[in-house]
Amino acid sequence: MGVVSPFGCGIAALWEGVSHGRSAARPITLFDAADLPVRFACEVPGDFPPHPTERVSAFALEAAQQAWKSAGAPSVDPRRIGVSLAVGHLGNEASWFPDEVAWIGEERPDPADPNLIDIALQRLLPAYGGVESLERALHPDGLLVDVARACGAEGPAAVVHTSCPASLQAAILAAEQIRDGEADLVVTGGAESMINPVGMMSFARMQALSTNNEEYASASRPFDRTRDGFVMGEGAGMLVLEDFDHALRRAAPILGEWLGAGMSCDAYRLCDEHPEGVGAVAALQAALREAAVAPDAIDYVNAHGSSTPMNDRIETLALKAALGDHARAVPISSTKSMHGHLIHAAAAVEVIVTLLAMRHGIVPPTAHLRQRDPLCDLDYVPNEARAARVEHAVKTSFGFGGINAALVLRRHS
Amino acid sequence: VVVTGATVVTSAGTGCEAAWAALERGSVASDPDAPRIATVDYEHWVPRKNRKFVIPVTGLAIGAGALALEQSRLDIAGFAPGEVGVFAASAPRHSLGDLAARIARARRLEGRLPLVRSRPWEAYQALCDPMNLLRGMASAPADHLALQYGFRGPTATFTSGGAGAMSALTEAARMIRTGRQRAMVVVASDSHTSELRRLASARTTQGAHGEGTPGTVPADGGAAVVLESETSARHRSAPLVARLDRAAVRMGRPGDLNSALRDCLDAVLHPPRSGRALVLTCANGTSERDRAEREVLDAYLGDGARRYAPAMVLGESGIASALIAVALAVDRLSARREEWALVDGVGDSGGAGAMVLEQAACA
Repeated sequence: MGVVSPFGCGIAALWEGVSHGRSAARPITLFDAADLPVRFACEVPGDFPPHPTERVSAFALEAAQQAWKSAGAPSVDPRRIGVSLAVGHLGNEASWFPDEVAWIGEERPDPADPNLIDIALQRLLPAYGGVESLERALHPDGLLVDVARACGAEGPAAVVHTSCPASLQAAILAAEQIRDGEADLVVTGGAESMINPVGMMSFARMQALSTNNEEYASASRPFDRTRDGFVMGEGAGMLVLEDFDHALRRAAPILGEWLGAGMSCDAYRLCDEHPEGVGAVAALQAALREAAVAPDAIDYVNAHGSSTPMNDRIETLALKAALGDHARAVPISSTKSMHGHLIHAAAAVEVIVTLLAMRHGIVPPTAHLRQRDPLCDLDYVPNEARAARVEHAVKTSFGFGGINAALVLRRHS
Repeated sequence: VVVTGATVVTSAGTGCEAAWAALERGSVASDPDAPRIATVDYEHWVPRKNRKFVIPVTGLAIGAGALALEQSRLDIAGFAPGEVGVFAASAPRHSLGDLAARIARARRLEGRLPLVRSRPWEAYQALCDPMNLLRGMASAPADHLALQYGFRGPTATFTSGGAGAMSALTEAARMIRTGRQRAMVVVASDSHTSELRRLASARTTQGAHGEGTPGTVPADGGAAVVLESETSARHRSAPLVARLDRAAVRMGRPGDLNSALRDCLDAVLHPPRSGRALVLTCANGTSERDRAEREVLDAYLGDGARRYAPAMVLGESGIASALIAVALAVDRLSARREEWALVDGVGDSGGAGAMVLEQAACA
């Protein structure tokens, strides 16, 4: 596994942050956010390019290279290596809006000119180094190619784009490709950077982001009564999934076992989750069923826990419905409280956190959980990590418009 | 995995019949360079309260999906809601085109570009209207169809260029073959006719297409294919219009334009097949790619199979092109014109997909 997170590059930085309950939220430095209603986010520190499209690519490539190295850079028939990614596109859209566009002011054409778009884009093209670079900005599969080349993959390939659960969906497709005999290994995960004017403002206007500029470090507070939205994050998470026997044969470092997964859609409203979480319950039940694991065998749930008023209440209901009485006993935490919401990369990064929790025998906390919400009444591991043997874990991921995914993992021993 | 419904919305009109007539005729417009505009009355299938969320390119997928579902006679009442899912191939550039249009409108209204980040927050308000985000999301076609028909199985949207529709179909078929789902609706739509898209394609859009004349003709298009397990389809006496035999999507080797397509054909044409065959290629007037594709197809198939290149007639509709070709192949197989069909799709990035479909006996 490999990660670029708001705590920095690499697994160690991520685990250091989430296991100590640290917040990666800070005032936005990538652009001047002084006039925005939300002026903080979980930016990735370090020397990455500021342009949204290039930034997503750099994150993805770095995380994929880490993952491939940690898998032992296996020597396998390239046609048996797949790539399945989730890539955000608002970064691409936003690439139209930075200062490069301001040139128009220098030589302003007639605003009524019917060819205005053509004129604008022809002038814009040089900023991208020509049509090929522009095409690249419009094509998320450019990133797929980068990752495939970095890992020598020539096998099955896919890019999915389905809001928050996208990187878990990509991983589920990857696991299916392996089970179906199409590939021995698949590099899978997600990359995202929406900390740009359009990304921040769009989500702010949807009232999805916390506007707690004064207490930005503790603004992401999943399951807390005072939660008011998520904190935008960015980064990438990549995993190498491998056929179990194949991994054993080459003595690969097995970090965890993928037991089962489920996907569903609420089909309720375009923007809202079903109020009783029917889709979330279905995804959880499907994952448990496929894993052949009883609810009371689950030792930890890494929750979607977005810190929005709606999600955390519905997720609580869904966990109760899917896990029964065990929902009250199992430790549940949302690490978005610390690294923010990485949107298309969120689920992949949180699967990595879950694998690390299994490895270290430590359940990371839900940070900034101070005021109990009577509608969120489970054990969310408030504020401090907890030692626990985690044999089986669940990762949930629920998205905009009621798209749901869940995964059951087992510690490898 | 069988196909129980399939249709297209192209510049030739709505339905496979119109598209095949254009293909057989060899043209759809008097001006060979004219963009191929496609329209469908999608509002017919979208509840009034949700119409404000639908832009025309999403409507192409919704319309095609609705028509394919009609043909399939798939009624969710006969399924558990989670047994049917929706996979879509859709491109973020839809919304880019929309955004570009809005830039133009905003500039006409204000006489300036309200997008520079040194401007105050208020200047961004209209641009970042959540409604625009919802309209422009690549996942909109799948979201609308799932909502409209009450499908609670997995929904996912694939955005990987020219092979995106092949990915959506391949993964949807896998969902059925591995027993996860009973039926999957696969839709795709794209629009290359916006000013933005035409400019972005300027490198390849050079003129009238045809043998030896480089350049694609930009088009809109949408398609839908309903996949189902054969057991389920027979159980509910659904029309078995074709059977999906094999499908593959591959990345290929760097610097080898056709390695991905060769890898796909190795996967789907093994063992070699015989019988009357139909080949729907992804040739679109881009000389280098078309030539390379032709060489591979010649090597694997010889000249025995009848070949059509829908994008050469209907225009290039990007991520939707491969699904349009699959739906057209299904239509021919259901009419028993050929025994089996090969459809391929090659992306700009070098990835490719290929699929073999065959006749299916009526239930």
